[in-house]
Amino acid sequence: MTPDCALELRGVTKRYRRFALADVSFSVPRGYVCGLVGPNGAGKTTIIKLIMNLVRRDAGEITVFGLDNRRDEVAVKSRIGFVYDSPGFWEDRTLETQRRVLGAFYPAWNDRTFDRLAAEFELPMRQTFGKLSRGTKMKFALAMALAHDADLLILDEPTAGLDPVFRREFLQRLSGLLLDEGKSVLFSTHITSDLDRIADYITFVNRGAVAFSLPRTELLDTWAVVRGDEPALRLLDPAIVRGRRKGRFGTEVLVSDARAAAGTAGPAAVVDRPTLEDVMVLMAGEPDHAS
Amino acid sequence: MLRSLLFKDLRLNPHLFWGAIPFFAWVAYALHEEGAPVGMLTAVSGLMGAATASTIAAREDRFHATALLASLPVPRSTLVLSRYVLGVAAGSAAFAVAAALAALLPWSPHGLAAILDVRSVMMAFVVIGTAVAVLLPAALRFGLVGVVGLFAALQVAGVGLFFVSSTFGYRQPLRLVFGSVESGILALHARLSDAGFAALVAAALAVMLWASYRASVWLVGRRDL
Repeated sequence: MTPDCALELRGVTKRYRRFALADVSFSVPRGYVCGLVGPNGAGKTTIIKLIMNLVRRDAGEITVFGLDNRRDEVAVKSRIGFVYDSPGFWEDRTLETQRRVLGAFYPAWNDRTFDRLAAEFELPMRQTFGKLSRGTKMKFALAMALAHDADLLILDEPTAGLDPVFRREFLQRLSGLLLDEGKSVLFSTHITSDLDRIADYITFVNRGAVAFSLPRTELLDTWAVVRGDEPALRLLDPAIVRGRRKGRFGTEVLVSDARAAAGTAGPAAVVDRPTLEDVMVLMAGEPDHAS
Repeated sequence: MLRSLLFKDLRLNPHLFWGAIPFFAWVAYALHEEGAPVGMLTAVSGLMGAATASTIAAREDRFHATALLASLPVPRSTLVLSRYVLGVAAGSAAFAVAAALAALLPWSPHGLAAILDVRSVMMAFVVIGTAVAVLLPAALRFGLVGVVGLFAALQVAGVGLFFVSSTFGYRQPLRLVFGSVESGILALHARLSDAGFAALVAAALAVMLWASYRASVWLVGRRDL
């Protein structure tokens, strides 16, 4: 295992009848936030389920703080706080009851921390879970994930389906908590703007494979989107081309070396700093260019 | 950990436990007629116990809480074990409550001693153990669909057997099978003392529950959530 890794996947494979995750490898360093991005159906949730041992891997190795996620399942899960896309709490029971019941499973459960978060998130503790809005459900799930002092947070599309105002508030609270406590986080999302403020690393998954896993600053500083007409873009070195999309007003090419692109593309081409959304859209467009 | 799991089931599903009491009051009332089968009490209570554990598993499926439970720091084998403990405990409690109600209701012709004789208690445990052992693997692996599917399969099998026996007159082979099992058990009982026979039944029940538990652990371990 790589030292100082909160989470490491090596050669993880899972085959379904119509979909396969192939040879997935990436790591999340301790104390950092890793964004797991990719289009819907790319395999992000399957990766998270494999980490949580909710599905059985066919090959590979998954370690959490150096412990195998299957062999040392109890120790590993004691250190993980999770928030799933559809939090599966009991719809007809109050938040208070569920907090009491589920907290008992964690040796490091802290009622004070939970109460503080519940007050901060304004959780209606006497309300049944089923009557809450999606945003409040996610806040409850987040409070549950944080109240046992987890070292690694795994968040699977926590902002999907939230309105923009609520999403911003949720992310602000999350980033505040993360800054305060220095936790390691794996944050899966297809809404790339969620990661603009908080992610240190970006792991891009497409069609069941990891296309790249890089520090966010490196990605945004060294990669580029080149826009222009076909003759100018044809001058680009194919080795640096990672994605391409043909639009109504021209062609966009994603390259992994902005300097080289600026030197080789013709004057009719414009080289821009990419956004995470550019990266996702362009890479998802043409699978052959992913490496 | 097992205690936390049982506490969870009690706290999150109290209506399943309290809601059964009026039902048992009705069962006890139904026993007030002279000659009413006391065996019904054991059968109903056993099935109720197994149904409680299966219903809790099915409720978790309905709320998509199965993945949440499997994400807690608890081995899946312990999750499975807690269902078996709950099923047997709920069945035993159901039998005890039903027996107490049947004996204590003012119109009941049965005394507590008559209901709680060794034969009834043994019968109750056989019914409870068998119901738990048969229902739980399906409930834990396939959720509510598994329970419904199992009952549907049993019903179809029953109808099929009835059809085969009435249409083709194949009653003899069926009678032969069930008859030989029955006579074998009776012969064994005749050879052994009551205590020896009870111990043998208890041992067989324990083996059946253990085999069912191992099968459930295997099935649940391979279940992708």
